[in-house]
Amino acid sequence: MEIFELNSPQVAAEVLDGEAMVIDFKNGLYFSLRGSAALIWSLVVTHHSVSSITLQLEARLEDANELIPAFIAKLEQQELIRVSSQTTTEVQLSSSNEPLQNPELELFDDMQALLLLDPIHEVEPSRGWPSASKKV
Amino acid sequence: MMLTSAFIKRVVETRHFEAQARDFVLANQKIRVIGVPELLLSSTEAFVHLPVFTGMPDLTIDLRTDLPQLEDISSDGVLHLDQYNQDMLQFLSGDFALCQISYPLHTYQQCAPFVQILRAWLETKSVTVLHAAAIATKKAAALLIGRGGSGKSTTSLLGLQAGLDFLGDDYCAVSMKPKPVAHSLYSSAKFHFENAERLRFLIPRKNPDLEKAYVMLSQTHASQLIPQALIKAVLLPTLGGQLGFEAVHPQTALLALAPNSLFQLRSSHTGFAQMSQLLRTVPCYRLYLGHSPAAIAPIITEFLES
Repeated sequence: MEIFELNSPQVAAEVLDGEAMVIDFKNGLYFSLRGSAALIWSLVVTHHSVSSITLQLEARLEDANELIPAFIAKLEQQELIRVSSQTTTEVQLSSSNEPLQNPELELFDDMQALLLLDPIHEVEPSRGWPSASKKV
Repeated sequence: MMLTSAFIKRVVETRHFEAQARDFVLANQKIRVIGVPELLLSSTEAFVHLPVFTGMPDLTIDLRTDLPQLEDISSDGVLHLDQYNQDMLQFLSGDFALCQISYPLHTYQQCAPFVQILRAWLETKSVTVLHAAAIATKKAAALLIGRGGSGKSTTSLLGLQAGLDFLGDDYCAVSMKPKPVAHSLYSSAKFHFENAERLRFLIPRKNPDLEKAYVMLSQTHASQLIPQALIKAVLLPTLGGQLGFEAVHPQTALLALAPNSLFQLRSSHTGFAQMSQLLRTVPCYRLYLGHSPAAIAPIITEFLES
């Protein structure tokens, strides 16, 4: 029974009104979690096992048995979560019957170049960080 | 590990005999900058719009052209803030910061001095420095967020031209308790030369090194520079469209605000959480700028006054 946790302190997340934003401070990538993704994320980082999450949401999400493990695998692949030694949180079946949309993980890498600039040699001296030198 | 009082005492002893202090209140915190006159004047010009205080400072920033005893301050635990500009090394420990600046200052250092020190130190006081502009009526402020080129600076300066109060065009600070408040950091403003005609009420300083012109508004618009204002809404200026507001999901606003603020300012998890709290509390709107710049400030004024 695989249980995960937030890959802290490298990663931080904020859930706002049913959507989530996850930031990887180490590599400058950030992610928008839409559809059922924020709900799944909240369950994952509170130590619900993959099978437990699937069980909780299968009545509300079509193809939950495929989509949820695949989505959680993506989170792990992006190193947003890591395997945890915590004990699993007790299954709480959702009181809502509202159908869920497929989980979506949108990746943004526009900050990565900025973060990975060589701070000494690739920064425009007259403008300072984070302006890249035109030579870059 | 914090800088020891013995070390700070040694640093103080190495101050130049001509060193002077400039005091100002920023985000309700008393800040004192100490340095030799020419360095002090140049590096604190952007703060002259802020109120002064008497008594002891909450944060002291000690400016040097040469750092004393570098080996002491590079020890573990001392926050080395700005390794990215060799000409402006900054160290912060507790309520004492040591800052090495080469003179003359670059324009970005004059426009946004000590931004890394302020970001890191204010965060410990639950005040978040954001990559955002802010303008206000006497009633409330709008925080303008978005990527570079989205129209933040131009919108805030059009507001200034129309008589709105001004808190910043690039960086602002925000505190959440007891209510969301925007705090002014700098009186500087930058804008693209291509907008100079539209903003011809400003007289930019010449700077061939920058893509943008810059001004110190304390010299021309002192009465409109205010230290703080209650935030009524977060606006995402968007070029084009039909002039008006459209409510957006706070997540959209977080995506527009957080990456720039976090990665440019090297903000932390705390800053991220504070940004999220702000956007949970304050309504967020996309502001379509339309095609008539003169109409932008009136619609913002009407919105803030309503």
